[in-house]
Amino acid sequence: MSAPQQSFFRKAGLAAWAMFTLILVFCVLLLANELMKSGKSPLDLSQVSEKESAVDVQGPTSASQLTNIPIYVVSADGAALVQESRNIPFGEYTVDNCRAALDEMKKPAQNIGSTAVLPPIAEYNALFLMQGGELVIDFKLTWQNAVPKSASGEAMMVYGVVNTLTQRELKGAKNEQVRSVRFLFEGRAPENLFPVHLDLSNPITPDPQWIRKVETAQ
Amino acid sequence: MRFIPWGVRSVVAILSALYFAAHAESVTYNAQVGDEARLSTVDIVSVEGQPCVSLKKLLADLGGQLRVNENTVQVSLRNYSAKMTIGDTTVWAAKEFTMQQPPRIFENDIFVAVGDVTALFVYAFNVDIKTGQPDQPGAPSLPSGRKLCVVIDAGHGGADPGASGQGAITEKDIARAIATQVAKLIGQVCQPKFTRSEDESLSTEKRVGIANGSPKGDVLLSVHVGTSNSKTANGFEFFCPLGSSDATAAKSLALARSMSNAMSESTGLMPRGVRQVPCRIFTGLQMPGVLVEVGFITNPTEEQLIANPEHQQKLAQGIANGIIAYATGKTQ
Repeated sequence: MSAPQQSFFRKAGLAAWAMFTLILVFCVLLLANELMKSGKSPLDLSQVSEKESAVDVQGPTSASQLTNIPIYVVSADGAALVQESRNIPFGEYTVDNCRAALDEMKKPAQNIGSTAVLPPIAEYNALFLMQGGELVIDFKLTWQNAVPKSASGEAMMVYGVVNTLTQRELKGAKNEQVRSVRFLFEGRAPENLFPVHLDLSNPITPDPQWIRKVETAQ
Repeated sequence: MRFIPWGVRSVVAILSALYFAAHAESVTYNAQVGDEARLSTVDIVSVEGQPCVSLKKLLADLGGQLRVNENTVQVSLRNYSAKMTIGDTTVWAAKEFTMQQPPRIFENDIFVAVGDVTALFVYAFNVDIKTGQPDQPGAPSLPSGRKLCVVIDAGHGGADPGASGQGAITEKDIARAIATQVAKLIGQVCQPKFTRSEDESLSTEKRVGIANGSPKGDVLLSVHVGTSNSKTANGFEFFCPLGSSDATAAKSLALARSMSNAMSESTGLMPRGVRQVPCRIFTGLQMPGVLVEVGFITNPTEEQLIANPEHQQKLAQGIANGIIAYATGKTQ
């Protein structure tokens, strides 16, 4: 091979390599953008690895219809959780329906005297569903002072969220049902700062002892 | 399982049966069925690795019925009925709901997971069911002459005032006042041990460490006040560790019910009940534990009440009576 030919192939190879590198950088930027949109840090590798083992991390689905679901609010006497109906844009993914239900749980209760289980300023960084039905919610630590700090006050918040999100009514066609909820705060297991009285280091399963049912004889 | 030879499976099954026969544990449920209180003691059996109880025996003891048609299980109690499918967690009742584990067939019987029993009876039959025997809680077995060591933990303290209401009094002061009274009242029968006797700040881990340390406590009582967004929330409430079958959880429930009944008598107030929650103070605790919230500091009327030394004395008397009844095996 002559010297001009060698030079031509070297230049073509370098050009192809440069093009490939540009495409790779573009893909990485796109991925980082998507992670930031869903509230995750693209620099936090632990979150990325969690995402790999999780299922159905989705943004809001486009094709959804309004569906009536039950959510729990705190009863007027503050002693139990009672159901209220809300309309949410119901999608095929359980995790999207849980997001919509969480938004509803921040809104004022409809029953006179009842209160919402979450304060209006409650926000989360991320929410994803693991294999086996464990829903992980990574809350922001900006609303801790808005929750009554006692075992009963914290339990109403925790079991209001868990008993709502584990309902079959929130199960999307493409996912399994939520079986338990793991609470994280700013990406970490809860510490003494909040909640003060409850130990949320393990996932919480639904508990009917908090629910006040209306007697309906058959 | 498909690739394990039948012979090996049979041997494993026989050995498992022998093991569980030798290590059989049971759980007692008490349920309020209509106007009648009923009891059922059922063996805990490991089915496919899950601790389960016989649904047939449980229903028979509580006055219900169970019918099996191929894979469908029809259960009924009072005027309520529900339908389940073997291997499926869905329960079709007045309101459809899902159990944590599916019902399973084992030795011609239907078994449900221990953790699903409460939910099944509440959702399917609207029946309040609890573990243990509330009328005969097991008295603590202590060597003769030794007093029950009661660890009394006054919540919060020092730089951590806990909750507060409209007045100047804070949770740490109320908790300490009641804890001190309780210690005086139980002194004849029990050996009180404080996690803090002064106005000092202690982490939860330190409190648990003191309780577990020498002399090791037999039971722990943590005193707090309640808070709620509802201004009308009122009354006292007890919290126990989660668990449906272990002895510590059962003893915690027995102690809490004993105190709840006695406090209701001493104050004339209606109890809010006894609930099982994963409180931090129970994490790592090597004894039965109970957390009591003596009233709601966020309710202005109740704030005045729980700040009143006379009412605090009544609350302490109720707590002390409940502890003494538990210690002497004379629970109501």
